[in-house]
Amino acid sequence: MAETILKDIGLYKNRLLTLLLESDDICEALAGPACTSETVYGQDGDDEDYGLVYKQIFPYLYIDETQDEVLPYLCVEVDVPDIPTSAMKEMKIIIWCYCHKKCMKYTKKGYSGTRSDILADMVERQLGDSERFGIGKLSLASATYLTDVNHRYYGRQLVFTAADFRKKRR
Amino acid sequence: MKEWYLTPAAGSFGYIFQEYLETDLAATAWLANCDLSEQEEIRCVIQGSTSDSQTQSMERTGLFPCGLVKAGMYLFYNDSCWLIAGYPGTNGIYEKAAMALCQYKIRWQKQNGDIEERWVHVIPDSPAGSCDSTFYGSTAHSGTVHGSTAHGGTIRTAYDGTAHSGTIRTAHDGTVHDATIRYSYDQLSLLLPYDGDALALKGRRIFLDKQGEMPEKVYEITRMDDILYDYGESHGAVLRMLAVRTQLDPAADNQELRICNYIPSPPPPVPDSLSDLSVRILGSQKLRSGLARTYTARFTGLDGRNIPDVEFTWKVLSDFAVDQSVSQNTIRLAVNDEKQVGCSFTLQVLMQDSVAAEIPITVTEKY
Repeated sequence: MAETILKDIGLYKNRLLTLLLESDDICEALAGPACTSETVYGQDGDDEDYGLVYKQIFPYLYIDETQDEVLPYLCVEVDVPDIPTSAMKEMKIIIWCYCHKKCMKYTKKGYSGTRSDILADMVERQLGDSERFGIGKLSLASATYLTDVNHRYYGRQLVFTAADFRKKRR
Repeated sequence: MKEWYLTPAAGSFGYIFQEYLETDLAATAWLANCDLSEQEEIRCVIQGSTSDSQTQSMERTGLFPCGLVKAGMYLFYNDSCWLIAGYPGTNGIYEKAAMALCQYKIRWQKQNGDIEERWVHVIPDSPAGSCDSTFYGSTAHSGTVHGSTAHGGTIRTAYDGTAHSGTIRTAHDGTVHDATIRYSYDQLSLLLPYDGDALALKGRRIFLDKQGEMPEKVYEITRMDDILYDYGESHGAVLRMLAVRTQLDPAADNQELRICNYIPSPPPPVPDSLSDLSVRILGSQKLRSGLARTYTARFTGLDGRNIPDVEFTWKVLSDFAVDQSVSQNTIRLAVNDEKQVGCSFTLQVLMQDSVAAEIPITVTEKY
């Protein structure tokens, strides 16, 4: 099977979602203290239940303006902004940590700020030391605020960058 | 001002009630038979919901479409179970029936081991107003009340020592006597639907205890009024029972199941050959990469009953690594290699060196 440059986009997303779900703090901040394994990963026998994924964690930017539920969300996107050499490519990981404005208040020992600030901090702690993306560790390039058109949601956009091989033999 | 409300010819006023049922003054409820095997959602009118006394708060009157209800049916509404206890009467427009609140569900076991349950209306069996079940032949009082001591004296009995004074109408002559009674037993009166299974309760012991998982209060059904509230085939019937406190028998009574004289069901025999056995593998045919999933082998006999303790082995036929963890009848599988997305493998149940069941499983994307 021919190896492609872009295959890493899906691969990165899968690894990102796995890493995020492995954090108890992130799952608790998203789904509350009663969060169970079934809440996180879905019910064992249900093919359509992906747990938090596609409910509060999305492998793409998702803001549902018609959503009535007051919830926090995490969205993940992966870009390949540059392919500078025949051997290397730049990878850009964007993570949106945002909440409905009615659930901004959150308290967790060791963290401070709003729920979206805390979620962003949790994501940085979870990904910061990971060596599963590219060559070496991820580097946090920016963390800027974001809001939606109707100003119902507010949050933070994290951008991580990594260098990776252009094509990998798997 | 409204115009005249046109009504049809006399004899067909039922439609007015039907319209009334569609308003917010009516309620949606579930009507059920005695063992709840048949249930139907209905609209009805509940009267007497704002009671002035504790006794009245356990009573309601229901208005139903004609011919719908019988005594002995249950009505579920407002998170409560009500027993239609009175004779349902009709005025041609609606049917009215008195209902009693069921506070407890009794359980017992039939001869074949099946467990029966009935919601019951429970009231204390007191002398005033309930002489019929208290004094007529019950274990507690038969010896004293029917005798000469009941008339004009003090009846002393053993159990709780509570003294009650009131008017007593004795069994034989109907003469009214004032007396003080000390109960010999803790007695309760139960109302429940009249049916063949409930009739078999006479002389049986039942739990009447809501306390936790290990109830201790056991009562014996000493008396059964099967005629008193029998309104005939077309109107239904309820049974009134007298339950007298008796001793828990920890050796025979199953406290967890709340069943007295519990007969444990024998485990079904393991079939001799594979032809007597049906084997199924329960679990999804899609296994998400990187996530473990549980698969269960289920064995059933010809009669459809589950059969435990069958000797078998799991086998995974795969060209790639599949993590396996076996526990009794279940196996937990996981494929952690992202490259295997889209690939398939086979899960088998082997018995006596032959394949008893198998399913193909495809590895899918994690998310």
